[in-house]
Amino acid sequence: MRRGRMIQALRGVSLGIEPGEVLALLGPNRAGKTTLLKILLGLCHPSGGRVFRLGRPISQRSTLARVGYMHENQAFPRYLTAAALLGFCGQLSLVPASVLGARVPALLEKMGLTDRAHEPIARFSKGMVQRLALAQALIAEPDLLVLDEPMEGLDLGARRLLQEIIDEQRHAGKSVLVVSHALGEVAQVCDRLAVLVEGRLAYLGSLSSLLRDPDTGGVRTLEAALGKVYRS
Amino acid sequence: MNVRCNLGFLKHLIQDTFRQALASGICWMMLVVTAVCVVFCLSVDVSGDVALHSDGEPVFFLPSPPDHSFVPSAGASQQVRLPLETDPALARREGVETISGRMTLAFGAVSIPVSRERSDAVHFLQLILASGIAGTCGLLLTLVWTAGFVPTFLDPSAASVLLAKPIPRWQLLLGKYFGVLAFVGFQLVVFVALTWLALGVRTKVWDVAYWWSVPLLLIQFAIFYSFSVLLAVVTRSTVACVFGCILFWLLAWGINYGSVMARHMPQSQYLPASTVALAQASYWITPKPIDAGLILFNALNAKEHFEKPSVYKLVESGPTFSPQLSILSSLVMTGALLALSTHEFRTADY
Repeated sequence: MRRGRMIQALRGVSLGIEPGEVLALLGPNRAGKTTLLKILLGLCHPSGGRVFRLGRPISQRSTLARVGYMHENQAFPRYLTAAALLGFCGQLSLVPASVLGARVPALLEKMGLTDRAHEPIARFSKGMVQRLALAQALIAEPDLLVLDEPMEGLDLGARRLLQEIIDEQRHAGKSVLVVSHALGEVAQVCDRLAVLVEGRLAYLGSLSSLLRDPDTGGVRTLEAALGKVYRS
Repeated sequence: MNVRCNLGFLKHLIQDTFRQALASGICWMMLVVTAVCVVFCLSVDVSGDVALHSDGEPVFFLPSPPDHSFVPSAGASQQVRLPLETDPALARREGVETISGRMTLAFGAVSIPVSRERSDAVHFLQLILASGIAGTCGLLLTLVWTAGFVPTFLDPSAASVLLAKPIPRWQLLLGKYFGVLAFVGFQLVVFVALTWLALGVRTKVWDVAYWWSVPLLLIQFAIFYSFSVLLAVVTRSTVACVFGCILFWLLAWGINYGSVMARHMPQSQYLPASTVALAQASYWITPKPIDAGLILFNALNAKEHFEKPSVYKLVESGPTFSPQLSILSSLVMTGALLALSTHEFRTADY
């Protein structure tokens, strides 16, 4: 529901993410990917169905302390410094101040932003803002990391860093949900794919089984297979 | 969440509002207005005044002679009207003691005769500063300047990450509201402290009653700003907040004035009972800027120095007027507006 206008964005979608799994949520524009994400994060209220976050109903906001979220087009307050932003986000995620004191510099170093820690975000390039957005998503060492179009605006080095972080999360037994509209961006990092088309779940499975799927006709490229799923 | 966590979070939102005000230049604009007023206060000088009463003696209001002239007692049949300030020597010969004090403003550029005590002149300036500059122009300007704070905070691309944290939404909204109040409170303290000091240094009149303007004006701002917050939550538009707030301020003035008139005007007896009841109901549920002006007038002890404006006399003579009830009912309305805002914010989709 949006300002009196009812939009049915999702219909009969049922999926889950296991610990230590990286799930890529794909689909064309207006497929309902972001809506699904927003429902999971408590930003939107579903009109029906059941949604669980880390095993608890989404109405329990305390579980959000264990979730990290990187927004697609993040607009941080331009007057904040990188360090102040991470401190604030950590506080909102209920991370104790004593822990934040060590974690903020460590994350800034990991993202290559140590020398810009005390500069206002207004002076940051888009790629630096994306790296900062990733840092704030990791500030609470989340059990579920949600990344909305994370590759946007990242250079090659930052993309490699993102892949490393996703791998780290997987090996640490944590779940990662990556939302994208381009398969090529997530193919190397995901364990499973969920494809949304017009609000319905069109495919859920591994990459290899997508290529083997008789419905996709044994196509040779991932993009072609995905195109077949979109059209099915 | 424990209390310590809540306080830390509130502290951060207050800091965030100060940073926002600094970055947007609003903090500096408000400080410039304060600086202009301080320079004005430093330009004030009072000389030649006479104490009309000794310390501890009660002060009574002394009305000024009409058209600033006096009538000599000699030759009552032949009345000669002489300006009081033009020939004090003649007045003294006539047995009339005149006071030829002067208050100069703008470092002597403007000179105003003072026929009473210097504290009257200072109280007059304090009343202008608190009621006119800060209470009317300052309040409106601050409402306009801070109108963008909450909509910017609630912009989806900025707020999504904050809303995806475990902090309840109502705490985020109220935290920002109190952050803005803290910023405005800080600016008010700076304004009052510096103008009080400047006037005190120049005139040697140190009246602490002037400090009452800080809480009273902050309450007024808090009342009007709660409506701005509601508009911000509903529309997420700075423009809507600016114009909505100004309209609400004008509406509150109109309702307050209308309800006073409905009670006291001779023609009001011909008004339908339903109209009078509606005016009274509107009076209780909207902010009351005229009441607030009267409360500030009394708090500054201005009634000991000047005649009360007629509208204030009308308000005070009303059977139901009570400063405490007036403020309390406005605060209840503020609470209701904030509750509505938090409810709307809690259920809004981002």
